[in-house]
Amino acid sequence: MNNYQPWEKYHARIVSSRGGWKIGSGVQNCGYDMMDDLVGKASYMQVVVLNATGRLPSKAVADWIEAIHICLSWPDPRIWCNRIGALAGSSRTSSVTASCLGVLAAESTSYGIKPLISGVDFIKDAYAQVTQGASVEDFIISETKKHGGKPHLMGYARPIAKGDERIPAMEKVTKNLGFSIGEHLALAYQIESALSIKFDESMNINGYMSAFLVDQGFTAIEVYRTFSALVVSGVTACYADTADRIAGNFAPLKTDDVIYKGRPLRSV
Amino acid sequence: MIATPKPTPASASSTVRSRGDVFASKIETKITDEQSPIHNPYHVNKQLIHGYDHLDLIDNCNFADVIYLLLRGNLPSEKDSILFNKLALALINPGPRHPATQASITAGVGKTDTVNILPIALGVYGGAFDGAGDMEKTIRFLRKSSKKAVIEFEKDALNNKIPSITQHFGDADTYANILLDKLKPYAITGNVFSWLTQLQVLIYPKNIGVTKTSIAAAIFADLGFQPRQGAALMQLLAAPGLMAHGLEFSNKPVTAMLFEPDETYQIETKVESIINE
Repeated sequence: MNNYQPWEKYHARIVSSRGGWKIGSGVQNCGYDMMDDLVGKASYMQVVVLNATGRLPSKAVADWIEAIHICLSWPDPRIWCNRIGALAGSSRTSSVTASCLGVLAAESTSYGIKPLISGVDFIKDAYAQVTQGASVEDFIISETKKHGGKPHLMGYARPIAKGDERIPAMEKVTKNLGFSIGEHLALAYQIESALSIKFDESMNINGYMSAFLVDQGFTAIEVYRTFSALVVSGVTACYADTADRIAGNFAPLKTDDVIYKGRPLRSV
Repeated sequence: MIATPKPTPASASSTVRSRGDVFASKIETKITDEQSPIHNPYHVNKQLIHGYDHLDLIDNCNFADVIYLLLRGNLPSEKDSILFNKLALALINPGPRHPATQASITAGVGKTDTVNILPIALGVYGGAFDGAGDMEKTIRFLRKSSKKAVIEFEKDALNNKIPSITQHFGDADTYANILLDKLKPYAITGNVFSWLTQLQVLIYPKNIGVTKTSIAAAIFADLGFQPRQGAALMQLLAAPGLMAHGLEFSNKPVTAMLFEPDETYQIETKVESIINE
Protein backbone atom coordinates (compact mmCIF):
# COMPACT_ATOMS: atom_id res chain seq x y z
CA MET A 1 0.00 0.00 0.00
CA ASN A 2 1.34 3.42 -0.89
CA ASN A 3 0.35 6.86 0.31
CA TYR A 4 -0.75 8.09 -3.10
CA GLN A 5 -3.44 5.47 -3.64
CA PRO A 6 -6.38 7.97 -3.45
CA TRP A 7 -5.05 9.64 -6.60
CA GLU A 8 -4.53 6.44 -8.55
CA LYS A 9 -8.19 6.04 -9.47
CA TYR A 10 -7.98 9.41 -11.21
CA HIS A 11 -4.73 8.71 -13.05
CA ALA A 12 -5.02 8.52 -16.85
CA ARG A 13 -8.81 8.84 -16.80
CA ILE A 14 -11.59 11.35 -16.18
CA VAL A 15 -14.07 10.61 -13.43
CA SER A 16 -17.23 12.73 -13.53
CA SER A 17 -20.38 12.74 -11.44
CA ARG A 18 -21.93 15.23 -13.84
CA GLY A 19 -21.76 13.59 -17.23
CA GLY A 20 -20.04 14.22 -20.52
CA TRP A 21 -20.02 13.71 -24.27
CA LYS A 22 -19.83 10.19 -25.64
CA ILE A 23 -19.30 10.65 -29.34
CA GLY A 24 -22.24 9.27 -31.27
CA SER A 25 -24.40 8.53 -28.26
CA GLY A 26 -25.02 12.02 -26.90
CA VAL A 27 -24.28 14.35 -24.03
CA GLN A 28 -25.27 13.32 -20.54
CA ASN A 29 -25.74 15.76 -17.69
CA CYS A 30 -26.64 14.55 -14.23
CA GLY A 31 -28.77 11.77 -15.69
CA TYR A 32 -30.44 13.97 -18.31
CA ASP A 33 -29.80 13.70 -22.02
CA MET A 34 -28.86 17.29 -22.82
CA MET A 35 -30.26 17.36 -26.34
CA ASP A 36 -33.44 15.37 -25.69
CA ASP A 37 -34.31 16.37 -22.13
CA LEU A 38 -32.92 19.89 -21.69
CA VAL A 39 -32.47 21.77 -24.97
CA GLY A 40 -35.73 23.55 -25.78
CA LYS A 41 -37.36 22.19 -22.63
CA ALA A 42 -35.42 23.66 -19.73
CA SER A 43 -34.42 27.31 -19.46
CA TYR A 44 -30.74 28.25 -19.68
CA MET A 45 -30.77 29.26 -16.02
CA GLN A 46 -32.22 25.88 -15.01
CA VAL A 47 -29.22 24.28 -16.68
CA VAL A 48 -26.85 26.78 -15.02
CA VAL A 49 -28.17 25.62 -11.65
CA LEU A 50 -28.05 21.99 -12.73
CA ASN A 51 -24.41 22.37 -13.74
CA ALA A 52 -23.55 24.12 -10.48
CA THR A 53 -25.47 21.92 -8.06
CA GLY A 54 -26.30 18.68 -9.82
CA ARG A 55 -30.04 19.36 -9.32
CA LEU A 56 -32.48 20.70 -11.90
CA PRO A 57 -34.50 23.43 -10.17
CA SER A 58 -38.07 24.39 -10.99
CA LYS A 59 -38.56 26.90 -13.78
CA ALA A 60 -39.77 29.42 -11.19
CA VAL A 61 -36.59 29.17 -9.11
CA ALA A 62 -34.49 29.50 -12.27
CA ASP A 63 -36.48 32.55 -13.36
CA TRP A 64 -35.95 34.09 -9.92
CA ILE A 65 -32.20 33.46 -10.23
CA GLU A 66 -32.20 34.97 -13.70
CA ALA A 67 -33.87 38.09 -12.34
CA ILE A 68 -31.11 38.39 -9.73
CA HIS A 69 -28.56 38.28 -12.54
CA ILE A 70 -30.28 41.28 -14.08
CA CYS A 71 -30.07 43.06 -10.73
CA LEU A 72 -26.29 42.56 -10.78
CA SER A 73 -25.77 43.53 -14.41
CA TRP A 74 -25.62 47.32 -14.21
CA PRO A 75 -23.72 49.03 -17.01
CA ASP A 76 -22.08 51.46 -14.58
CA PRO A 77 -18.26 51.45 -14.80
CA ARG A 78 -17.88 52.95 -11.34
CA ILE A 79 -18.63 49.53 -9.87
CA TRP A 80 -15.29 47.83 -9.43
CA CYS A 81 -15.74 44.78 -11.63
CA ASN A 82 -17.37 46.92 -14.31
CA ARG A 83 -14.55 49.45 -14.13
CA ILE A 84 -12.13 46.69 -15.04
CA GLY A 85 -14.31 45.83 -18.03
CA ALA A 86 -14.31 49.49 -19.06
CA LEU A 87 -10.53 49.72 -18.68
CA ALA A 88 -10.15 46.54 -20.71
CA GLY A 89 -12.27 47.97 -23.52
CA SER A 90 -10.33 51.20 -23.43
CA SER A 91 -7.13 49.14 -23.65
CA ARG A 92 -8.38 47.12 -26.62
CA THR A 93 -8.51 43.69 -25.09
CA SER A 94 -11.13 41.23 -26.35
CA SER A 95 -14.66 41.10 -25.00
CA VAL A 96 -14.04 37.62 -23.61
CA THR A 97 -10.93 38.76 -21.77
CA ALA A 98 -12.68 41.81 -20.34
CA SER A 99 -15.73 39.87 -19.22
CA CYS A 100 -13.64 37.20 -17.53
CA LEU A 101 -11.46 39.78 -15.79
CA GLY A 102 -14.58 41.45 -14.39
CA VAL A 103 -15.79 38.12 -13.07
CA LEU A 104 -12.38 37.56 -11.47
CA ALA A 105 -12.64 40.97 -9.79
CA ALA A 106 -15.99 40.06 -8.27
CA GLU A 107 -14.19 37.37 -6.29
CA SER A 108 -14.09 39.97 -3.53
CA THR A 109 -14.73 40.01 0.16
CA SER A 110 -16.49 43.38 -0.21
CA TYR A 111 -18.99 42.72 -2.99
CA GLY A 112 -19.84 40.25 -5.72
CA ILE A 113 -19.93 36.51 -5.31
CA LYS A 114 -17.81 35.54 -2.33
CA PRO A 115 -19.93 37.37 0.29
CA LEU A 116 -22.83 35.14 -0.72
CA ILE A 117 -21.14 32.32 1.20
CA SER A 118 -21.00 34.48 4.29
CA GLY A 119 -24.54 35.69 3.57
CA VAL A 120 -25.92 32.17 3.60
CA ASP A 121 -23.90 31.22 6.66
CA PHE A 122 -25.08 34.38 8.43
CA ILE A 123 -28.80 33.84 7.96
CA LYS A 124 -28.54 30.14 8.80
CA ASP A 125 -26.68 31.03 11.99
CA ALA A 126 -29.22 33.71 12.85
CA TYR A 127 -32.05 31.25 12.24
CA ALA A 128 -30.40 28.66 14.46
CA GLN A 129 -29.90 31.17 17.29
CA VAL A 130 -33.39 32.63 17.10
CA THR A 131 -35.07 29.24 16.94
CA GLN A 132 -33.06 28.28 20.02
CA GLY A 133 -34.58 31.18 21.93
CA ALA A 134 -32.45 34.27 21.28
CA SER A 135 -34.32 37.46 20.43
CA VAL A 136 -33.58 39.20 17.16
CA GLU A 137 -32.42 42.25 19.12
CA ASP A 138 -30.01 40.17 21.22
CA PHE A 139 -28.68 38.53 18.07
CA ILE A 140 -27.99 41.94 16.50
CA ILE A 141 -26.23 43.17 19.65
CA SER A 142 -24.02 40.10 19.71
CA GLU A 143 -23.19 40.46 15.99
CA THR A 144 -22.40 44.18 16.19
CA LYS A 145 -20.10 43.52 19.14
CA LYS A 146 -17.92 41.51 16.75
CA HIS A 147 -17.40 44.68 14.70
CA GLY A 148 -16.76 47.28 17.39
CA GLY A 149 -20.44 48.11 17.74
CA LYS A 150 -20.84 48.89 14.03
CA PRO A 151 -23.75 47.34 12.09
CA HIS A 152 -21.53 45.27 9.82
CA LEU A 153 -23.93 42.37 9.46
CA MET A 154 -23.47 40.27 6.35
CA GLY A 155 -26.40 40.98 4.06
CA TYR A 156 -27.16 44.34 5.57
CA ALA A 157 -25.98 47.85 4.67
CA ARG A 158 -23.90 48.38 1.52
CA PRO A 159 -20.99 50.55 0.35
CA ILE A 160 -21.54 53.93 -1.33
CA ALA A 161 -25.28 54.23 -0.56
CA LYS A 162 -27.93 53.34 1.99
CA GLY A 163 -30.94 51.31 0.84
CA ASP A 164 -31.03 48.91 -2.08
CA GLU A 165 -33.33 49.44 -5.05
CA ARG A 166 -32.85 45.83 -6.13
CA ILE A 167 -34.82 44.44 -3.21
CA PRO A 168 -38.20 45.99 -4.06
CA ALA A 169 -37.63 44.86 -7.66
CA MET A 170 -36.96 41.31 -6.49
CA GLU A 171 -39.89 41.40 -4.06
CA LYS A 172 -42.13 41.86 -7.10
CA VAL A 173 -40.42 38.97 -8.87
CA THR A 174 -40.82 36.77 -5.80
CA LYS A 175 -44.50 37.57 -5.60
CA ASN A 176 -45.16 37.25 -9.35
CA LEU A 177 -43.49 33.85 -9.47
CA GLY A 178 -45.79 32.66 -6.70
CA PHE A 179 -43.24 32.24 -3.91
CA SER A 180 -44.31 32.73 -0.33
CA ILE A 181 -41.94 34.20 2.22
CA GLY A 182 -40.03 31.37 3.85
CA GLU A 183 -38.73 31.17 7.39
CA HIS A 184 -35.24 32.49 6.64
CA LEU A 185 -36.51 35.39 4.55
CA ALA A 186 -39.04 36.23 7.25
CA LEU A 187 -36.22 36.33 9.79
CA ALA A 188 -34.15 38.47 7.42
CA TYR A 189 -36.97 41.02 7.41
CA GLN A 190 -37.16 40.94 11.21
CA ILE A 191 -33.43 41.62 11.45
CA GLU A 192 -33.79 44.47 8.97
CA SER A 193 -36.60 45.97 10.99
CA ALA A 194 -34.57 45.96 14.20
CA LEU A 195 -31.44 47.18 12.43
CA SER A 196 -33.32 50.01 10.81
CA ILE A 197 -34.56 51.31 14.13
CA LYS A 198 -31.18 51.10 15.85
CA PHE A 199 -28.74 51.96 13.03
CA ASP A 200 -30.75 53.32 10.10
CA GLU A 201 -29.46 50.47 7.94
CA SER A 202 -31.41 48.05 5.76
CA MET A 203 -31.07 44.71 4.02
CA ASN A 204 -28.95 44.55 0.87
CA ILE A 205 -29.36 42.27 -2.12
CA ASN A 206 -26.95 39.74 -0.62
CA GLY A 207 -29.14 39.40 2.46
CA TYR A 208 -32.29 39.02 0.39
CA MET A 209 -30.75 36.49 -1.98
CA SER A 210 -29.16 34.45 0.77
CA ALA A 211 -32.31 34.14 2.84
CA PHE A 212 -34.52 33.33 -0.15
CA LEU A 213 -32.14 30.72 -1.51
CA VAL A 214 -31.71 29.01 1.87
CA ASP A 215 -35.49 28.75 1.98
CA GLN A 216 -35.26 27.07 -1.45
CA GLY A 217 -32.80 24.49 -0.11
CA PHE A 218 -29.52 25.86 -1.45
CA THR A 219 -26.31 25.47 0.53
CA ALA A 220 -23.72 28.25 0.71
CA ILE A 221 -21.36 26.57 -1.74
CA GLU A 222 -24.21 25.87 -4.16
CA VAL A 223 -25.16 29.54 -4.12
CA TYR A 224 -21.54 30.54 -4.71
CA ARG A 225 -21.15 28.16 -7.64
CA THR A 226 -24.50 29.02 -9.19
CA PHE A 227 -23.67 32.72 -9.23
CA SER A 228 -20.06 32.38 -10.41
CA ALA A 229 -20.63 34.68 -13.39
CA LEU A 230 -23.21 36.86 -11.67
CA VAL A 231 -21.71 40.20 -12.72
CA VAL A 232 -20.51 39.25 -16.19
CA SER A 233 -23.15 40.99 -18.26
CA GLY A 234 -22.62 44.39 -16.67
CA VAL A 235 -18.89 44.01 -17.25
CA THR A 236 -19.49 43.20 -20.91
CA ALA A 237 -21.69 46.28 -21.23
CA CYS A 238 -18.98 48.52 -19.81
CA TYR A 239 -16.41 46.87 -22.08
CA ALA A 240 -18.55 47.39 -25.17
CA ASP A 241 -19.06 51.06 -24.36
CA THR A 242 -15.37 51.89 -24.07
CA ALA A 243 -14.23 49.49 -26.80
CA ASP A 244 -16.28 51.51 -29.28
CA ARG A 245 -14.54 54.81 -28.43
CA ILE A 246 -11.00 56.06 -29.01
CA ALA A 247 -8.34 53.83 -27.42
CA GLY A 248 -7.42 54.97 -23.94
CA ASN A 249 -10.73 56.77 -23.50
CA PHE A 250 -11.81 55.45 -20.12
CA ALA A 251 -10.95 57.82 -17.28
CA PRO A 252 -7.56 58.86 -18.72
CA LEU A 253 -5.33 60.30 -16.02
CA LYS A 254 -2.81 63.12 -16.33
CA THR A 255 0.35 62.87 -14.26
CA ASP A 256 -0.91 65.48 -11.81
CA ASP A 257 -4.08 63.43 -11.25
CA VAL A 258 -1.91 61.13 -9.13
CA ILE A 259 -0.45 62.39 -5.87
CA TYR A 260 2.99 60.92 -5.12
CA LYS A 261 3.63 60.49 -1.41
CA GLY A 262 6.78 58.36 -1.57
CA ARG A 263 10.46 59.09 -1.03
CA PRO A 264 12.01 62.09 -2.80
CA LEU A 265 14.53 61.55 -5.60
CA ARG A 266 17.53 59.48 -4.48
CA SER A 267 20.38 57.58 -6.14
CA VAL A 268 21.03 53.84 -6.26
CA MET B 1 -27.22 30.95 -59.26
CA ILE B 2 -27.15 28.64 -56.28
CA ALA B 3 -29.96 26.13 -56.16
CA THR B 4 -32.09 26.20 -53.05
CA PRO B 5 -31.65 22.91 -51.21
CA LYS B 6 -34.76 20.79 -50.96
CA PRO B 7 -36.20 20.60 -47.48
CA THR B 8 -35.00 17.53 -45.68
CA PRO B 9 -36.50 16.00 -42.57
CA ALA B 10 -33.21 16.16 -40.69
CA SER B 11 -29.76 17.61 -41.17
CA ALA B 12 -26.94 15.24 -41.97
CA SER B 13 -25.44 16.51 -38.72
CA SER B 14 -27.81 14.24 -36.80
CA THR B 15 -25.40 11.36 -37.24
CA VAL B 16 -22.38 12.07 -35.05
CA ARG B 17 -19.25 10.04 -35.68
CA SER B 18 -15.76 10.26 -34.30
CA ARG B 19 -13.23 11.56 -36.81
CA GLY B 20 -10.78 9.04 -35.43
CA ASP B 21 -8.10 11.64 -34.72
CA VAL B 22 -5.16 10.15 -32.90
CA PHE B 23 -4.31 12.19 -29.82
CA ALA B 24 -1.11 11.96 -27.84
CA SER B 25 -1.17 9.29 -25.17
CA LYS B 26 1.42 11.29 -23.20
CA ILE B 27 2.38 14.97 -23.34
CA GLU B 28 5.85 15.80 -24.61
CA THR B 29 8.05 18.71 -23.55
CA LYS B 30 11.58 19.82 -24.30
CA ILE B 31 11.64 22.08 -21.26
CA THR B 32 11.42 20.02 -18.10
CA ASP B 33 12.51 16.56 -17.07
CA GLU B 34 11.14 15.54 -13.68
CA GLN B 35 12.41 12.45 -11.92
CA SER B 36 10.65 10.75 -9.02
CA PRO B 37 11.77 9.11 -5.81
CA ILE B 38 10.91 5.43 -5.49
CA HIS B 39 8.21 5.93 -2.86
CA ASN B 40 5.93 8.28 -4.82
CA PRO B 41 5.66 8.82 -8.61
CA TYR B 42 3.80 12.12 -8.06
CA HIS B 43 6.80 13.59 -6.24
CA VAL B 44 9.99 15.03 -7.71
CA ASN B 45 13.49 14.59 -6.40
CA LYS B 46 15.28 16.01 -9.43
CA GLN B 47 14.21 18.52 -12.02
CA LEU B 48 16.13 19.40 -15.17
CA ILE B 49 15.33 22.56 -17.14
CA HIS B 50 16.62 22.26 -20.68
CA GLY B 51 19.22 19.90 -19.26
CA TYR B 52 20.34 22.04 -16.33
CA ASP B 53 19.70 20.85 -12.80
CA HIS B 54 17.20 23.28 -11.26
CA LEU B 55 19.30 23.36 -8.07
CA ASP B 56 22.36 24.30 -10.12
CA LEU B 57 20.40 27.19 -11.65
CA ILE B 58 19.39 28.38 -8.18
CA ASP B 59 23.05 28.51 -7.19
CA ASN B 60 24.46 30.06 -10.30
CA CYS B 61 21.91 32.07 -12.29
CA ASN B 62 19.75 35.13 -11.89
CA PHE B 63 15.98 35.14 -12.36
CA ALA B 64 15.89 36.73 -15.81
CA ASP B 65 18.51 34.34 -17.19
CA VAL B 66 16.34 31.35 -16.29
CA ILE B 67 13.31 32.98 -17.90
CA TYR B 68 15.45 33.28 -21.03
CA LEU B 69 16.48 29.64 -20.65
CA LEU B 70 12.90 28.45 -20.28
CA LEU B 71 11.84 30.17 -23.50
CA ARG B 72 14.97 29.91 -25.65
CA GLY B 73 16.38 26.60 -24.52
CA ASN B 74 19.82 27.91 -23.60
CA LEU B 75 21.21 30.31 -21.06
CA PRO B 76 21.93 33.75 -22.55
CA SER B 77 25.39 34.97 -23.38
CA GLU B 78 26.72 37.61 -20.99
CA LYS B 79 25.82 40.35 -23.46
CA ASP B 80 22.30 38.98 -24.07
CA SER B 81 21.81 38.52 -20.35
CA ILE B 82 22.59 42.18 -19.74
CA LEU B 83 20.28 43.27 -22.55
CA PHE B 84 17.40 41.05 -21.38
CA ASN B 85 17.75 42.33 -17.83
CA LYS B 86 17.85 45.93 -19.03
CA LEU B 87 14.72 45.41 -21.11
CA ALA B 88 13.01 43.76 -18.14
CA LEU B 89 13.80 46.85 -16.09
CA ALA B 90 12.58 49.13 -18.87
CA LEU B 91 9.19 47.41 -18.87
CA ILE B 92 8.91 46.74 -15.13
CA ASN B 93 6.47 49.49 -14.21
CA PRO B 94 3.80 50.75 -16.62
CA GLY B 95 2.94 53.35 -13.98
CA PRO B 96 -0.19 54.12 -11.97
CA ARG B 97 -2.07 55.78 -14.83
CA HIS B 98 -1.80 52.84 -17.21
CA PRO B 99 -5.21 51.16 -17.66
CA ALA B 100 -3.76 47.83 -16.56
CA THR B 101 -2.45 49.40 -13.36
CA GLN B 102 -5.79 51.12 -12.88
CA ALA B 103 -7.44 47.72 -13.19
CA SER B 104 -4.97 46.33 -10.65
CA ILE B 105 -5.71 49.20 -8.27
CA THR B 106 -9.46 48.76 -8.79
CA ALA B 107 -9.17 45.08 -7.95
CA GLY B 108 -7.03 45.85 -4.92
CA VAL B 109 -9.23 48.53 -3.45
CA GLY B 110 -12.36 46.47 -4.27
CA LYS B 111 -10.97 43.72 -2.04
CA THR B 112 -10.77 41.26 -4.87
CA ASP B 113 -9.01 38.12 -3.73
CA THR B 114 -5.34 39.00 -4.06
CA VAL B 115 -4.68 35.90 -6.16
CA ASN B 116 -6.79 37.54 -8.87
CA ILE B 117 -5.13 40.97 -8.87
CA LEU B 118 -2.23 40.09 -11.15
CA PRO B 119 -4.28 38.06 -13.66
CA ILE B 120 -6.70 41.00 -13.94
CA ALA B 121 -3.88 43.49 -14.52
CA LEU B 122 -2.14 41.23 -17.03
CA GLY B 123 -5.39 40.69 -18.89
CA VAL B 124 -5.83 44.42 -19.40
CA TYR B 125 -2.12 44.75 -20.24
CA GLY B 126 -2.83 42.25 -23.01
CA GLY B 127 -4.72 44.96 -24.86
CA ALA B 128 -3.24 46.76 -27.85
CA PHE B 129 -3.30 50.19 -26.20
CA ASP B 130 0.19 50.67 -24.71
CA GLY B 131 0.29 46.94 -23.96
CA ALA B 132 1.19 43.57 -25.34
CA GLY B 133 -1.82 43.04 -27.61
CA ASP B 134 -0.03 43.74 -30.89
CA MET B 135 3.29 42.19 -29.88
CA GLU B 136 3.12 39.10 -32.07
CA LYS B 137 2.38 40.97 -35.28
CA THR B 138 4.93 43.65 -34.34
CA ILE B 139 7.71 41.06 -34.00
CA ARG B 140 6.68 39.46 -37.28
CA PHE B 141 6.68 42.85 -39.01
CA LEU B 142 10.03 43.93 -37.58
CA ARG B 143 11.75 40.62 -38.36
CA LYS B 144 10.66 40.89 -41.98
CA SER B 145 11.00 44.62 -42.56
CA SER B 146 14.34 45.10 -40.87
CA LYS B 147 15.93 43.22 -43.75
CA LYS B 148 15.08 46.16 -45.99
CA ALA B 149 16.13 49.80 -45.99
CA VAL B 150 14.31 51.75 -43.30
CA ILE B 151 13.52 54.61 -45.66
CA GLU B 152 11.09 52.31 -47.47
CA PHE B 153 8.89 52.30 -44.40
CA GLU B 154 8.85 55.97 -43.45
CA LYS B 155 5.62 56.70 -45.30
CA ASP B 156 3.77 53.72 -43.80
CA ALA B 157 4.99 54.68 -40.35
CA LEU B 158 3.74 58.23 -40.73
CA ASN B 159 0.39 56.86 -41.90
CA ASN B 160 0.01 54.62 -38.84
CA LYS B 161 0.33 51.47 -40.92
CA ILE B 162 3.09 49.83 -38.92
CA PRO B 163 2.10 47.88 -35.80
CA SER B 164 3.14 49.52 -32.53
CA ILE B 165 4.50 52.60 -34.29
CA THR B 166 1.99 55.23 -33.34
CA GLN B 167 1.09 58.14 -31.11
CA HIS B 168 0.11 58.08 -27.45
CA PHE B 169 -2.61 60.52 -26.40
CA GLY B 170 -2.07 62.50 -29.59
CA ASP B 171 1.73 62.75 -29.70
CA ALA B 172 4.75 60.54 -30.22
CA ASP B 173 5.35 58.66 -26.95
CA THR B 174 7.82 60.74 -24.95
CA TYR B 175 8.88 58.10 -22.45
CA ALA B 176 9.17 55.37 -25.09
CA ASN B 177 11.63 57.62 -26.90
CA ILE B 178 13.60 58.10 -23.67
CA LEU B 179 13.68 54.33 -23.11
CA LEU B 180 14.82 53.75 -26.68
CA ASP B 181 17.80 56.03 -26.07
CA LYS B 182 18.49 54.44 -22.70
CA LEU B 183 18.59 50.94 -24.17
CA LYS B 184 20.77 51.86 -27.16
CA PRO B 185 24.13 51.06 -25.51
CA TYR B 186 22.91 47.55 -24.70
CA ALA B 187 20.84 46.82 -27.82
CA ILE B 188 22.23 48.77 -30.74
CA THR B 189 24.23 45.87 -32.19
CA GLY B 190 20.98 44.03 -32.79
CA ASN B 191 19.80 44.31 -36.38
CA VAL B 192 16.15 44.81 -35.56
CA PHE B 193 16.73 47.30 -32.74
CA SER B 194 19.17 49.22 -34.91
CA TRP B 195 16.59 49.37 -37.70
CA LEU B 196 13.95 50.61 -35.25
CA THR B 197 16.19 53.41 -33.99
CA GLN B 198 16.80 54.49 -37.57
CA LEU B 199 13.07 54.59 -38.17
CA GLN B 200 12.61 56.64 -35.02
CA VAL B 201 15.11 59.20 -36.30
CA LEU B 202 12.97 59.61 -39.41
CA ILE B 203 9.56 59.79 -37.80
CA TYR B 204 9.90 61.15 -34.26
CA PRO B 205 10.40 64.74 -35.47
CA LYS B 206 7.07 64.30 -37.27
CA ASN B 207 5.33 63.42 -34.00
CA ILE B 208 4.91 59.68 -34.37
CA GLY B 209 7.20 57.03 -33.00
CA VAL B 210 8.10 53.88 -31.19
CA THR B 211 6.15 52.51 -28.25
CA LYS B 212 7.28 50.32 -25.42
CA THR B 213 5.72 47.48 -27.39
CA SER B 214 7.81 48.07 -30.51
CA ILE B 215 10.98 48.53 -28.45
CA ALA B 216 10.34 45.24 -26.67
CA ALA B 217 9.44 43.56 -29.96
CA ALA B 218 12.72 44.63 -31.55
CA ILE B 219 14.81 43.39 -28.63
CA PHE B 220 12.84 40.15 -28.36
CA ALA B 221 13.48 39.58 -32.07
CA ASP B 222 17.19 40.28 -31.72
CA LEU B 223 17.38 37.92 -28.74
CA GLY B 224 15.75 35.19 -30.81
CA PHE B 225 12.37 34.98 -29.10
CA GLN B 226 9.56 33.75 -31.32
CA PRO B 227 6.63 36.03 -32.21
CA ARG B 228 4.17 33.89 -30.26
CA GLN B 229 6.32 34.23 -27.14
CA GLY B 230 6.43 38.00 -27.23
CA ALA B 231 3.09 39.08 -25.78
CA ALA B 232 3.24 36.80 -22.77
CA LEU B 233 6.86 37.75 -22.17
CA MET B 234 6.02 41.45 -22.23
CA GLN B 235 3.19 40.79 -19.77
CA LEU B 236 5.60 38.93 -17.51
CA LEU B 237 8.12 41.75 -17.54
CA ALA B 238 5.47 44.37 -16.71
CA ALA B 239 3.94 42.25 -13.96
CA PRO B 240 5.95 43.61 -11.01
CA GLY B 241 4.78 47.20 -11.38
CA LEU B 242 1.21 46.20 -12.16
CA MET B 243 1.11 43.93 -9.13
CA ALA B 244 2.73 46.41 -6.75
CA HIS B 245 0.17 49.15 -7.34
CA GLY B 246 -2.78 46.79 -6.91
CA LEU B 247 -1.37 45.40 -3.70
CA GLU B 248 -0.67 48.92 -2.42
CA PHE B 249 -4.39 49.59 -2.66
CA SER B 250 -5.51 46.24 -1.29
CA ASN B 251 -5.09 47.56 2.24
CA LYS B 252 -6.77 50.90 1.57
CA PRO B 253 -10.45 51.68 2.12
CA VAL B 254 -12.72 51.61 -0.89
CA THR B 255 -12.89 55.40 -0.79
CA ALA B 256 -9.19 55.58 -1.76
CA MET B 257 -10.18 54.93 -5.39
CA LEU B 258 -12.01 57.29 -7.70
CA PHE B 259 -15.80 57.05 -7.71
CA GLU B 260 -16.92 59.73 -10.10
CA PRO B 261 -19.93 61.66 -8.73
CA ASP B 262 -23.21 61.60 -10.63
CA GLU B 263 -22.60 65.20 -11.72
CA THR B 264 -19.65 64.06 -13.83
CA TYR B 265 -21.40 60.97 -15.17
CA GLN B 266 -22.85 61.70 -18.59
CA ILE B 267 -25.37 59.17 -19.89
CA GLU B 268 -25.74 59.69 -23.65
CA THR B 269 -28.90 57.67 -24.20
CA LYS B 270 -32.34 58.62 -22.96
CA VAL B 271 -34.45 56.23 -20.95
CA GLU B 272 -37.08 54.42 -22.99
CA SER B 273 -39.25 51.61 -21.73
CA ILE B 274 -39.12 48.72 -24.16
CA ILE B 275 -41.20 46.33 -22.13
CA ASN B 276 -44.96 46.70 -21.86
CA GLU B 277 -46.25 46.18 -18.37
